[in-house]
Amino acid sequence: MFKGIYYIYIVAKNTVEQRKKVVFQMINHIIFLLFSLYLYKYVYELLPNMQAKLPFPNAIWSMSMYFVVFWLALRNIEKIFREDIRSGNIEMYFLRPISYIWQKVFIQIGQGLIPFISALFLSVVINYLIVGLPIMSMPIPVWIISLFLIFILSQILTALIFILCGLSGFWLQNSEPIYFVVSKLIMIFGGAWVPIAFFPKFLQLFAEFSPFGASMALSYAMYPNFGERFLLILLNIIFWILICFILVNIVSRRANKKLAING
Amino acid sequence: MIEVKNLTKIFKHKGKNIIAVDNISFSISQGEAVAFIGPNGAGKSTTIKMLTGILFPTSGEVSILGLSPQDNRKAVVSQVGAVFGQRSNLLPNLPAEDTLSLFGVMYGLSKKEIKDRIMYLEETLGITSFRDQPIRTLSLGQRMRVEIACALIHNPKILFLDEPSIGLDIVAKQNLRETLTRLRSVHNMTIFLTSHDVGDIEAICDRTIIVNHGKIVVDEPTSELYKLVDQEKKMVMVGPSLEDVLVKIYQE
Repeated sequence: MFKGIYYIYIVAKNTVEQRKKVVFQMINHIIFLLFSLYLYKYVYELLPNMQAKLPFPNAIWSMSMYFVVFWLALRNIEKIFREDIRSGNIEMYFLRPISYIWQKVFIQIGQGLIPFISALFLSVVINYLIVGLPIMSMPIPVWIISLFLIFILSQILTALIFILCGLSGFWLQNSEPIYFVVSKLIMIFGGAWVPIAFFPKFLQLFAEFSPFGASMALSYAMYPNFGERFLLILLNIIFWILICFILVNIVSRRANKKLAING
Repeated sequence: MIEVKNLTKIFKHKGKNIIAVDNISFSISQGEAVAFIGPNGAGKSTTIKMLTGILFPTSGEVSILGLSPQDNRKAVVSQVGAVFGQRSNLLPNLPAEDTLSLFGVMYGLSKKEIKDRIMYLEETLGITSFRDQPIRTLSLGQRMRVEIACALIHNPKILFLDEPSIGLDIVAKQNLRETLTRLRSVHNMTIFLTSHDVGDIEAICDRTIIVNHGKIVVDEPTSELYKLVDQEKKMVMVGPSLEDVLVKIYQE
Protein backbone atom coordinates (compact mmCIF):
# COMPACT_ATOMS: atom_id res chain seq x y z
CA MET A 1 0.00 0.00 0.00
CA PHE A 2 2.73 2.42 1.04
CA LYS A 3 4.78 1.48 -2.03
CA GLY A 4 1.83 2.36 -4.28
CA ILE A 5 1.15 5.69 -2.56
CA TYR A 6 4.84 6.63 -2.74
CA TYR A 7 4.98 5.62 -6.41
CA ILE A 8 1.96 7.83 -7.16
CA TYR A 9 3.47 10.68 -5.12
CA ILE A 10 6.80 10.61 -7.02
CA VAL A 11 5.10 10.44 -10.44
CA ALA A 12 2.73 13.26 -9.44
CA LYS A 13 5.76 15.29 -8.30
CA ASN A 14 7.33 14.69 -11.71
CA THR A 15 4.10 15.93 -13.34
CA VAL A 16 3.89 19.04 -11.14
CA GLU A 17 7.26 20.08 -12.52
CA GLN A 18 5.43 20.58 -15.83
CA ARG A 19 3.40 23.43 -14.34
CA LYS A 20 2.74 25.16 -17.65
CA LYS A 21 1.19 22.00 -19.06
CA VAL A 22 -1.16 21.66 -16.07
CA VAL A 23 -2.15 25.36 -16.29
CA PHE A 24 -2.89 24.97 -19.99
CA GLN A 25 -4.96 21.84 -19.31
CA MET A 26 -7.03 23.73 -16.74
CA ILE A 27 -7.62 26.71 -19.04
CA ASN A 28 -8.81 24.13 -21.54
CA HIS A 29 -11.12 22.61 -18.93
CA ILE A 30 -12.66 25.95 -17.95
CA ILE A 31 -13.31 26.92 -21.58
CA PHE A 32 -14.88 23.54 -22.28
CA LEU A 33 -16.99 23.72 -19.13
CA LEU A 34 -18.31 27.20 -19.90
CA PHE A 35 -18.96 26.35 -23.53
CA SER A 36 -20.90 23.19 -22.59
CA LEU A 37 -22.83 25.14 -19.99
CA TYR A 38 -23.86 27.67 -22.61
CA LEU A 39 -24.91 24.91 -25.04
CA TYR A 40 -26.93 23.02 -22.39
CA LYS A 41 -28.65 26.25 -21.37
CA TYR A 42 -29.60 26.90 -24.99
CA VAL A 43 -30.96 23.37 -25.48
CA TYR A 44 -32.93 23.49 -22.20
CA GLU A 45 -34.50 26.82 -23.24
CA LEU A 46 -35.34 25.31 -26.61
CA LEU A 47 -36.84 22.14 -25.12
CA PRO A 48 -38.23 23.08 -21.67
CA ASN A 49 -39.79 19.63 -21.11
CA MET A 50 -36.26 18.21 -20.70
CA GLN A 51 -36.37 19.60 -17.14
CA ALA A 52 -38.82 16.84 -16.22
CA LYS A 53 -36.38 14.12 -17.31
CA LEU A 54 -33.25 15.69 -15.90
CA PRO A 55 -33.16 19.07 -14.12
CA PHE A 56 -30.74 21.56 -15.65
CA PRO A 57 -28.33 21.78 -12.64
CA ASN A 58 -28.06 17.96 -12.53
CA ALA A 59 -27.33 17.82 -16.26
CA ILE A 60 -24.54 20.36 -15.82
CA TRP A 61 -23.03 18.55 -12.82
CA SER A 62 -23.31 15.22 -14.64
CA MET A 63 -21.55 16.55 -17.73
CA SER A 64 -18.82 18.27 -15.74
CA MET A 65 -18.12 15.16 -13.61
CA TYR A 66 -17.59 13.19 -16.79
CA PHE A 67 -14.93 15.64 -17.84
CA VAL A 68 -13.36 15.80 -14.37
CA VAL A 69 -12.85 12.02 -14.51
CA PHE A 70 -11.51 12.50 -18.04
CA TRP A 71 -8.42 14.24 -16.55
CA LEU A 72 -7.54 11.26 -14.40
CA ALA A 73 -7.19 9.52 -17.76
CA LEU A 74 -7.09 5.91 -16.59
CA ARG A 75 -7.97 5.03 -20.19
CA ASN A 76 -4.34 5.94 -20.97
CA ILE A 77 -3.24 2.72 -19.26
CA GLU A 78 -3.95 0.98 -22.57
CA LYS A 79 -1.83 3.56 -24.41
CA ILE A 80 1.16 3.14 -22.12
CA PHE A 81 0.89 -0.66 -22.39
CA ARG A 82 0.87 -0.27 -26.17
CA GLU A 83 3.87 2.05 -26.19
CA ASP A 84 5.81 -0.16 -23.77
CA ILE A 85 5.21 -3.24 -25.92
CA ARG A 86 6.12 -1.38 -29.11
CA SER A 87 9.29 0.22 -27.71
CA GLY A 88 10.39 -2.73 -25.58
CA ASN A 89 10.46 -0.48 -22.48
CA ILE A 90 8.21 -3.03 -20.83
CA GLU A 91 11.34 -4.95 -19.81
CA MET A 92 12.41 -2.15 -17.46
CA TYR A 93 9.22 -2.57 -15.47
CA PHE A 94 9.49 -6.36 -15.35
CA LEU A 95 12.82 -5.94 -13.55
CA ARG A 96 11.22 -4.23 -10.58
CA PRO A 97 9.72 -5.98 -7.56
CA ILE A 98 6.21 -4.63 -8.23
CA SER A 99 4.00 -6.14 -10.93
CA TYR A 100 4.01 -4.41 -14.31
CA ILE A 101 0.25 -3.80 -14.21
CA TRP A 102 0.34 -2.17 -10.79
CA GLN A 103 3.21 0.08 -11.83
CA LYS A 104 1.27 1.28 -14.87
CA VAL A 105 -1.79 1.99 -12.71
CA PHE A 106 0.35 3.95 -10.21
CA ILE A 107 2.04 5.88 -13.01
CA GLN A 108 -1.24 6.83 -14.65
CA ILE A 109 -2.82 7.88 -11.35
CA GLY A 110 0.32 9.89 -10.56
CA GLN A 111 0.20 11.61 -13.94
CA GLY A 112 -3.51 12.34 -13.79
CA LEU A 113 -3.85 13.23 -10.12
CA ILE A 114 -2.92 16.93 -10.25
CA PRO A 115 -5.01 17.76 -13.35
CA PHE A 116 -7.89 15.72 -11.85
CA ILE A 117 -7.83 17.52 -8.47
CA SER A 118 -7.50 20.91 -10.20
CA ALA A 119 -10.38 20.14 -12.59
CA LEU A 120 -12.56 18.86 -9.73
CA PHE A 121 -11.97 22.02 -7.71
CA LEU A 122 -12.63 24.30 -10.68
CA SER A 123 -15.77 22.41 -11.71
CA VAL A 124 -17.26 22.43 -8.23
CA VAL A 125 -16.63 26.18 -7.86
CA ILE A 126 -17.88 27.10 -11.36
CA ASN A 127 -20.94 24.83 -11.18
CA TYR A 128 -21.86 26.04 -7.69
CA LEU A 129 -21.54 29.69 -8.68
CA ILE A 130 -23.47 29.36 -11.93
CA VAL A 131 -26.13 26.65 -11.41
CA GLY A 132 -25.92 25.92 -7.67
CA LEU A 133 -26.00 22.42 -6.21
CA PRO A 134 -27.73 19.61 -8.10
CA ILE A 135 -31.10 18.38 -6.86
CA MET A 136 -30.44 15.40 -4.60
CA SER A 137 -32.49 12.95 -2.58
CA MET A 138 -30.05 12.47 0.31
CA PRO A 139 -28.31 14.72 2.87
CA ILE A 140 -25.18 16.45 1.49
CA PRO A 141 -22.60 14.56 3.65
CA VAL A 142 -24.13 11.17 2.72
CA TRP A 143 -24.31 12.29 -0.91
CA ILE A 144 -20.60 13.23 -0.93
CA ILE A 145 -19.52 9.95 0.72
CA SER A 146 -21.70 7.94 -1.68
CA LEU A 147 -20.28 9.81 -4.66
CA PHE A 148 -16.76 9.23 -3.41
CA LEU A 149 -17.40 5.49 -3.10
CA ILE A 150 -18.94 5.32 -6.58
CA PHE A 151 -16.04 7.35 -7.97
CA ILE A 152 -13.36 5.04 -6.48
CA LEU A 153 -15.10 1.84 -7.57
CA SER A 154 -15.94 3.11 -11.05
CA GLN A 155 -12.30 4.14 -11.53
CA ILE A 156 -11.12 0.68 -10.45
CA LEU A 157 -13.47 -0.71 -13.10
CA THR A 158 -12.17 1.78 -15.70
CA ALA A 159 -8.58 0.76 -14.91
CA LEU A 160 -9.44 -2.95 -15.23
CA ILE A 161 -11.24 -2.43 -18.56
CA PHE A 162 -8.28 -0.57 -20.05
CA ILE A 163 -5.77 -3.04 -18.57
CA LEU A 164 -7.66 -5.73 -20.50
CA CYS A 165 -7.49 -3.60 -23.66
CA GLY A 166 -3.76 -3.07 -23.08
CA LEU A 167 -3.09 -6.76 -22.46
CA SER A 168 -4.67 -7.60 -25.83
CA GLY A 169 -1.60 -5.89 -27.31
CA PHE A 170 0.53 -8.89 -26.26
CA TRP A 171 -1.30 -10.87 -28.95
CA LEU A 172 -2.28 -8.17 -31.45
CA GLN A 173 0.95 -6.10 -31.23
CA ASN A 174 -1.34 -3.07 -31.50
CA SER A 175 -4.36 -2.80 -29.24
CA GLU A 176 -5.42 0.59 -30.63
CA PRO A 177 -8.52 -0.67 -32.53
CA ILE A 178 -9.85 -2.33 -29.36
CA TYR A 179 -9.11 0.81 -27.36
CA PHE A 180 -10.96 2.89 -29.95
CA VAL A 181 -14.13 0.78 -29.73
CA VAL A 182 -14.09 0.51 -25.92
CA SER A 183 -13.38 4.20 -25.32
CA LYS A 184 -16.19 5.20 -27.68
CA LEU A 185 -18.61 2.80 -25.94
CA ILE A 186 -17.65 4.38 -22.62
CA MET A 187 -18.19 7.85 -24.05
CA ILE A 188 -21.64 6.94 -25.38
CA PHE A 189 -22.85 4.89 -22.41
CA GLY A 190 -21.11 7.12 -19.89
CA GLY A 191 -23.17 10.05 -21.11
CA ALA A 192 -20.42 12.17 -22.66
CA TRP A 193 -22.41 12.99 -25.78
CA VAL A 194 -25.97 12.93 -24.45
CA PRO A 195 -26.88 12.36 -20.76
CA ILE A 196 -28.20 8.82 -20.48
CA ALA A 197 -31.40 10.20 -18.91
CA PHE A 198 -32.38 11.18 -22.47
CA PHE A 199 -31.76 7.69 -23.88
CA PRO A 200 -34.71 5.40 -24.75
CA LYS A 201 -35.55 3.33 -21.67
CA PHE A 202 -33.99 0.05 -22.88
CA LEU A 203 -30.79 1.81 -23.94
CA GLN A 204 -30.67 3.66 -20.62
CA LEU A 205 -30.84 0.33 -18.78
CA PHE A 206 -28.13 -1.12 -21.01
CA ALA A 207 -25.94 1.94 -20.42
CA GLU A 208 -26.30 1.71 -16.65
CA PHE A 209 -25.78 -2.02 -16.38
CA SER A 210 -23.06 -2.53 -18.98
CA PRO A 211 -19.43 -2.28 -17.80
CA PHE A 212 -18.97 0.74 -20.11
CA GLY A 213 -21.65 2.81 -18.44
CA ALA A 214 -20.77 1.47 -14.98
CA SER A 215 -17.21 2.75 -15.39
CA MET A 216 -18.63 6.27 -15.78
CA ALA A 217 -21.23 5.90 -13.04
CA LEU A 218 -20.14 9.20 -11.50
CA SER A 219 -21.87 11.07 -14.33
CA TYR A 220 -25.29 9.52 -13.68
CA ALA A 221 -24.71 9.53 -9.93
CA MET A 222 -25.47 13.24 -10.34
CA TYR A 223 -29.10 12.49 -11.23
CA PRO A 224 -31.83 13.38 -8.69
CA ASN A 225 -32.76 9.71 -8.15
CA PHE A 226 -29.23 8.70 -7.12
CA GLY A 227 -30.32 8.14 -3.53
CA GLU A 228 -32.86 5.48 -4.49
CA ARG A 229 -30.58 3.81 -7.04
CA PHE A 230 -27.33 3.98 -5.06
CA LEU A 231 -27.28 0.35 -3.94
CA LEU A 232 -28.13 -0.94 -7.41
CA ILE A 233 -25.40 1.19 -9.01
CA LEU A 234 -22.91 0.06 -6.36
CA LEU A 235 -23.67 -3.65 -6.78
CA ASN A 236 -23.52 -3.35 -10.56
CA ILE A 237 -20.03 -1.81 -10.42
CA ILE A 238 -18.81 -4.41 -7.92
CA PHE A 239 -20.12 -7.18 -10.17
CA TRP A 240 -18.19 -5.85 -13.19
CA ILE A 241 -15.08 -5.29 -11.08
CA LEU A 242 -15.12 -8.95 -10.07
CA ILE A 243 -15.60 -10.13 -13.66
CA CYS A 244 -12.86 -7.87 -15.02
CA PHE A 245 -10.48 -8.72 -12.15
CA ILE A 246 -10.77 -12.44 -12.91
CA LEU A 247 -10.25 -11.78 -16.62
CA VAL A 248 -7.20 -9.56 -15.95
CA ASN A 249 -5.65 -12.30 -13.81
CA ILE A 250 -6.18 -14.98 -16.44
CA VAL A 251 -5.08 -12.84 -19.38
CA SER A 252 -2.02 -11.31 -17.64
CA ARG A 253 -0.62 -14.76 -16.76
CA ARG A 254 -0.83 -15.77 -20.42
CA ALA A 255 0.44 -12.38 -21.62
CA ASN A 256 3.69 -12.73 -19.62
CA LYS A 257 4.50 -15.86 -21.59
CA LYS A 258 3.68 -14.16 -24.90
CA LEU A 259 6.14 -11.35 -24.34
CA ALA A 260 8.74 -10.96 -27.11
CA ILE A 261 11.26 -8.13 -27.06
CA ASN A 262 13.98 -7.61 -29.60
CA GLY A 263 17.40 -6.07 -29.02
CA MET B 1 25.26 -18.25 -8.70
CA ILE B 2 24.04 -18.29 -12.34
CA GLU B 3 23.32 -21.71 -13.84
CA VAL B 4 22.09 -22.15 -17.38
CA LYS B 5 21.30 -25.63 -18.74
CA ASN B 6 20.28 -26.36 -22.32
CA LEU B 7 18.56 -23.01 -22.65
CA THR B 8 16.59 -22.51 -25.85
CA LYS B 9 14.33 -19.71 -27.01
CA ILE B 10 12.31 -19.96 -30.19
CA PHE B 11 10.23 -17.05 -31.43
CA LYS B 12 7.41 -17.62 -33.86
CA HIS B 13 7.11 -15.11 -36.65
CA LYS B 14 4.59 -15.46 -39.48
CA GLY B 15 4.38 -19.20 -38.94
CA LYS B 16 8.16 -19.66 -38.97
CA ASN B 17 10.28 -20.70 -36.00
CA ILE B 18 13.20 -18.38 -35.31
CA ILE B 19 15.78 -19.90 -32.95
CA ALA B 20 17.18 -16.98 -30.96
CA VAL B 21 19.00 -19.08 -28.35
CA ASP B 22 19.98 -22.64 -29.20
CA ASN B 23 20.61 -25.06 -26.36
CA ILE B 24 23.26 -23.12 -24.45
CA SER B 25 24.72 -24.06 -21.07
CA PHE B 26 27.13 -22.23 -18.77
CA SER B 27 27.60 -21.34 -15.14
CA ILE B 28 28.95 -18.23 -13.45
CA SER B 29 30.22 -18.12 -9.90
CA GLN B 30 30.06 -15.31 -7.36
CA GLY B 31 32.32 -12.34 -8.05
CA GLU B 32 32.97 -13.26 -11.68
CA ALA B 33 32.66 -10.59 -14.36
CA VAL B 34 31.56 -12.22 -17.59
CA ALA B 35 31.17 -10.64 -20.99
CA PHE B 36 28.43 -12.24 -23.04
CA ILE B 37 29.05 -11.01 -26.54
CA GLY B 38 28.43 -11.71 -30.18
CA PRO B 39 27.33 -10.09 -33.41
CA ASN B 40 23.93 -8.43 -33.80
CA GLY B 41 21.12 -10.98 -33.59
CA ALA B 42 23.35 -13.59 -31.93
CA GLY B 43 20.95 -14.08 -29.01
CA LYS B 44 22.72 -12.00 -26.32
CA SER B 45 19.82 -9.82 -25.29
CA THR B 46 17.33 -12.69 -25.47
CA THR B 47 19.56 -14.66 -23.08
CA ILE B 48 19.90 -11.75 -20.64
CA LYS B 49 16.11 -11.34 -20.71
CA MET B 50 15.63 -15.00 -19.86
CA LEU B 51 18.20 -14.72 -17.07
CA THR B 52 16.32 -11.79 -15.57
CA GLY B 53 12.91 -13.48 -15.89
CA ILE B 54 11.54 -11.09 -18.52
CA LEU B 55 11.23 -13.80 -21.17
CA PHE B 56 10.19 -17.41 -20.69
CA PRO B 57 12.53 -20.02 -22.22
CA THR B 58 11.10 -22.41 -24.79
CA SER B 59 13.09 -25.16 -23.09
CA GLY B 60 15.99 -25.55 -20.70
CA GLU B 61 16.63 -24.20 -17.24
CA VAL B 62 17.84 -20.97 -15.71
CA SER B 63 18.79 -20.68 -12.07
CA ILE B 64 19.74 -17.38 -10.46
CA LEU B 65 20.93 -17.76 -6.86
CA GLY B 66 19.21 -21.15 -6.84
CA LEU B 67 15.87 -19.77 -8.03
CA SER B 68 14.07 -19.82 -11.35
CA PRO B 69 13.64 -16.17 -12.39
CA GLN B 70 10.40 -17.00 -14.19
CA ASP B 71 8.79 -18.76 -11.22
CA ASN B 72 10.24 -16.52 -8.49
CA ARG B 73 10.36 -13.19 -10.26
CA LYS B 74 10.06 -10.98 -7.16
CA ALA B 75 12.63 -12.93 -5.16
CA VAL B 76 15.10 -12.87 -8.05
CA VAL B 77 14.72 -9.20 -8.99
CA SER B 78 15.27 -8.31 -5.33
CA GLN B 79 18.74 -9.89 -5.61
CA VAL B 80 19.75 -8.58 -9.01
CA GLY B 81 20.25 -5.17 -10.57
CA ALA B 82 20.05 -4.41 -14.26
CA VAL B 83 21.09 -1.56 -16.49
CA PHE B 84 19.89 -1.58 -20.08
CA GLY B 85 21.82 1.09 -21.95
CA GLN B 86 19.02 1.80 -24.39
CA ARG B 87 16.30 2.15 -21.78
CA SER B 88 15.83 4.52 -18.88
CA ASN B 89 14.42 4.18 -15.39
CA LEU B 90 14.67 7.87 -14.58
CA LEU B 91 11.97 10.49 -14.08
CA PRO B 92 13.03 13.39 -16.32
CA ASN B 93 11.72 16.33 -14.30
CA LEU B 94 13.07 15.28 -10.91
CA PRO B 95 16.56 15.10 -9.42
CA ALA B 96 18.31 11.73 -9.10
CA GLU B 97 17.44 11.42 -5.42
CA ASP B 98 13.70 11.11 -6.11
CA THR B 99 14.10 8.20 -8.52
CA LEU B 100 16.58 6.56 -6.15
CA SER B 101 14.13 6.95 -3.24
CA LEU B 102 11.35 5.43 -5.34
CA PHE B 103 13.52 2.44 -6.14
CA GLY B 104 14.50 2.11 -2.47
CA VAL B 105 10.83 2.05 -1.48
CA MET B 106 9.99 -0.46 -4.24
CA TYR B 107 12.70 -2.79 -2.93
CA GLY B 108 11.30 -2.47 0.58
CA LEU B 109 14.22 -0.60 2.17
CA SER B 110 13.61 1.41 5.34
CA LYS B 111 13.79 5.21 5.31
CA LYS B 112 17.22 5.14 6.97
CA GLU B 113 18.54 2.44 4.64
CA ILE B 114 17.41 4.48 1.64
CA LYS B 115 19.08 7.63 2.97
CA ASP B 116 22.37 5.83 3.72
CA ARG B 117 22.38 3.94 0.46
CA ILE B 118 21.69 7.08 -1.62
CA MET B 119 24.50 8.91 0.16
CA TYR B 120 26.90 6.02 -0.44
CA LEU B 121 25.98 5.65 -4.12
CA GLU B 122 26.09 9.39 -4.77
CA GLU B 123 29.62 9.51 -3.40
CA THR B 124 30.80 6.27 -5.02
CA LEU B 125 29.36 7.05 -8.45
CA GLY B 126 30.22 10.77 -8.38
CA ILE B 127 26.62 11.96 -8.45
CA THR B 128 26.94 14.44 -5.56
CA SER B 129 27.90 17.41 -7.78
CA PHE B 130 24.68 17.19 -9.83
CA ARG B 131 22.35 15.55 -7.31
CA ASP B 132 19.90 18.49 -7.25
CA GLN B 133 19.59 18.91 -11.01
CA PRO B 134 16.57 17.47 -12.85
CA ILE B 135 17.54 14.39 -14.86
CA ARG B 136 16.61 16.05 -18.17
CA THR B 137 19.44 18.58 -17.70
CA LEU B 138 22.14 15.92 -17.21
CA SER B 139 24.59 14.61 -19.80
CA LEU B 140 24.32 11.00 -21.02
CA GLY B 141 27.29 9.99 -18.87
CA GLN B 142 25.76 11.54 -15.75
CA ARG B 143 22.43 9.86 -16.48
CA MET B 144 24.13 6.49 -16.85
CA ARG B 145 25.70 6.92 -13.41
CA VAL B 146 22.23 7.55 -11.97
CA GLU B 147 20.89 4.49 -13.85
CA ILE B 148 23.62 2.38 -12.23
CA ALA B 149 22.80 3.87 -8.83
CA CYS B 150 19.14 2.80 -9.35
CA ALA B 151 20.28 -0.72 -10.20
CA LEU B 152 22.46 -0.85 -7.07
CA ILE B 153 20.13 0.80 -4.55
CA HIS B 154 19.18 -2.56 -3.00
CA ASN B 155 22.77 -3.84 -2.96
CA PRO B 156 22.22 -6.67 -5.45
CA LYS B 157 24.45 -9.73 -5.69
CA ILE B 158 24.36 -9.78 -9.49
CA LEU B 159 24.47 -6.86 -11.90
CA PHE B 160 23.24 -7.37 -15.47
CA LEU B 161 24.50 -4.79 -17.91
CA ASP B 162 23.16 -4.65 -21.45
CA GLU B 163 25.27 -2.24 -23.50
CA PRO B 164 25.75 0.20 -20.63
CA SER B 165 28.22 2.45 -22.46
CA ILE B 166 26.13 2.95 -25.60
CA GLY B 167 26.25 6.59 -26.70
CA LEU B 168 28.79 7.66 -24.09
CA ASP B 169 31.92 9.65 -24.95
CA ILE B 170 35.36 8.16 -24.22
CA VAL B 171 35.78 9.97 -20.90
CA ALA B 172 32.33 8.90 -19.69
CA LYS B 173 33.06 5.34 -20.82
CA GLN B 174 36.33 5.33 -18.91
CA ASN B 175 34.60 6.63 -15.77
CA LEU B 176 31.89 4.00 -16.10
CA ARG B 177 34.40 1.16 -16.47
CA GLU B 178 36.43 2.34 -13.46
CA THR B 179 33.29 2.65 -11.37
CA LEU B 180 32.05 -0.83 -12.26
CA THR B 181 35.46 -2.40 -11.63
CA ARG B 182 35.66 -0.66 -8.25
CA LEU B 183 32.15 -1.69 -7.25
CA ARG B 184 32.84 -5.26 -8.22
CA SER B 185 36.02 -5.48 -6.17
CA VAL B 186 34.45 -3.81 -3.12
CA HIS B 187 31.22 -5.84 -3.06
CA ASN B 188 32.38 -9.05 -4.76
CA MET B 189 29.51 -8.49 -7.14
CA THR B 190 28.88 -10.76 -10.11
CA ILE B 191 28.72 -8.84 -13.38
CA PHE B 192 27.08 -10.14 -16.53
CA LEU B 193 27.81 -7.77 -19.38
CA THR B 194 26.67 -7.64 -22.97
CA SER B 195 28.36 -4.99 -25.05
CA HIS B 196 29.65 -4.28 -28.51
CA ASP B 197 32.34 -2.11 -26.95
CA VAL B 198 35.56 -4.06 -26.67
CA GLY B 199 36.92 -1.54 -24.19
CA ASP B 200 34.15 -2.45 -21.74
CA ILE B 201 35.02 -6.13 -22.03
CA GLU B 202 38.76 -5.63 -21.58
CA ALA B 203 38.35 -3.28 -18.65
CA ILE B 204 35.59 -5.05 -16.73
CA CYS B 205 35.45 -8.76 -17.58
CA ASP B 206 37.84 -11.57 -16.83
CA ARG B 207 35.84 -14.14 -18.79
CA THR B 208 34.21 -13.90 -22.20
CA ILE B 209 31.44 -16.01 -23.68
CA ILE B 210 30.90 -15.47 -27.38
CA VAL B 211 27.60 -16.47 -28.96
CA ASN B 212 26.63 -16.64 -32.59
CA HIS B 213 23.37 -17.85 -34.13
CA GLY B 214 22.19 -18.61 -30.60
CA LYS B 215 25.05 -21.00 -29.79
CA ILE B 216 28.11 -20.55 -27.58
CA VAL B 217 31.19 -20.57 -29.80
CA VAL B 218 33.82 -19.47 -27.26
CA ASP B 219 33.95 -19.52 -23.45
CA GLU B 220 37.41 -18.48 -22.28
CA PRO B 221 39.18 -16.08 -19.96
CA THR B 222 39.29 -12.70 -21.73
CA SER B 223 43.09 -12.70 -21.72
CA GLU B 224 43.11 -16.08 -23.51
CA LEU B 225 41.13 -14.79 -26.49
CA TYR B 226 44.34 -13.52 -28.10
CA LYS B 227 45.90 -16.97 -27.97
CA LEU B 228 42.74 -18.54 -29.31
CA VAL B 229 42.93 -16.64 -32.54
CA ASP B 230 46.70 -16.59 -32.83
CA GLN B 231 47.44 -20.24 -32.04
CA GLU B 232 44.47 -22.61 -31.93
CA LYS B 233 42.69 -21.21 -34.95
CA LYS B 234 45.99 -20.65 -36.76
CA MET B 235 44.82 -17.28 -37.94
CA VAL B 236 47.00 -14.26 -38.46
CA MET B 237 46.05 -11.38 -36.26
CA VAL B 238 45.60 -8.08 -38.03
CA GLY B 239 46.65 -6.10 -35.01
CA PRO B 240 47.18 -6.43 -31.32
CA SER B 241 43.77 -5.17 -30.15
CA LEU B 242 40.99 -7.32 -28.69
CA GLU B 243 38.63 -5.80 -31.23
CA ASP B 244 40.67 -7.34 -34.06
CA VAL B 245 40.63 -10.67 -32.24
CA LEU B 246 36.85 -10.57 -31.83
CA VAL B 247 36.30 -9.66 -35.47
CA LYS B 248 38.34 -12.71 -36.43
CA ILE B 249 36.38 -14.94 -34.06
CA TYR B 250 33.04 -13.59 -35.32
CA GLN B 251 34.11 -14.15 -38.92
CA GLU B 252 35.31 -17.65 -38.08
